[in-house]
Amino acid sequence: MSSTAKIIWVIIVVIVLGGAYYWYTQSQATPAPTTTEPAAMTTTPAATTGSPSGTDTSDAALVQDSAAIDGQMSGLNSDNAAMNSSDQPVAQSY
Amino acid sequence: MKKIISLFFSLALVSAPAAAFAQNVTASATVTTGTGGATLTTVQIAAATKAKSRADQEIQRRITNLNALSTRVSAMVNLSADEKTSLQTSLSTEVSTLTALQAKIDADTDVPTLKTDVQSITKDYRVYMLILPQARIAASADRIETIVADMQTLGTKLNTRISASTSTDVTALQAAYTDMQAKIADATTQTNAAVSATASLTPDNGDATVAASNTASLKAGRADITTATSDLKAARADIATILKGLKVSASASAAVTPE
Repeated sequence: MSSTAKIIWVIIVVIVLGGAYYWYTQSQATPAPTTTEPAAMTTTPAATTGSPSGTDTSDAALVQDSAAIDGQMSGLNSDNAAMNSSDQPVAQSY
Repeated sequence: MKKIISLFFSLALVSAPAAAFAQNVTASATVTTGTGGATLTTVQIAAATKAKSRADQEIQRRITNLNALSTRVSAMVNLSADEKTSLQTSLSTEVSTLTALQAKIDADTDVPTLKTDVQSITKDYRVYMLILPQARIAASADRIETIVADMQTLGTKLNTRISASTSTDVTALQAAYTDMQAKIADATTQTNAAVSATASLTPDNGDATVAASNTASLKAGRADITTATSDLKAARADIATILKGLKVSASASAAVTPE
């Protein structure tokens, strides 16, 4: 192998090693974010109908009261989903 | 061979400064390494800019969550005005603090200061990690209290209808009603326990013992809310059983007159 070829090989090796070192330091300094998208803390919907009230015991009133409760139950599901969501921080460079 | 060795050392000398700076990056062209005031490479500047961007992202995410939670608190119906104000104040104070920190980080021109500020997002602002779960549990508890009140009102009506029923299966309806009342009562008990466990927690300020205690209390609070939710689902199933036994048709809702 000629001296020129050896020099070229050395340059290539140095460049590869330098590139690897650069990649290593960059990956240490700025790690990729590890966070998961936080669950949306939404404002949960109100019941679609008014809350049960009064003393009307007709079929219609009972159905309406049940629907109001179902609306609130749906809101509770949203509230609980937010409550149980984890809040993982974004990985920082420093 | 001497040429090779010479070239190798030359390249090593050229790359050494960049390697030395790689662990000590800064944010902009005007940023210094602190005491040395050295000029930084483009790579280092880019790394610091990225660090600031991520810090902004982290802070903004928190602010978004806090603002959303503030909106939810406004919609709570079972808190007193004073309790609402207290919660809202805590949330808005935290938002202000984080906003100020974000501005400071964006303006940082010194690496050690920038590093400290970025770290303070998680180290010093522990109140966020308490307020958020605390208020979310409070929101669920508030919702449960509303549902309990609604079910109690409906329960009274159902009991009236059961008493007047000529159904051959009144016993089964009464059993469902009794179970519904028991589930509602337990939901109330569990919710009160959740509120008691979490309402008066204080930020740990780095105290590991307090942090562990807070974590345990929040976990217990969530478990209580989950149990209360299961109770309400069971109570809702009882309601469905009673309505079916009373032969109440879902289509009857169209005829109701608001009270």
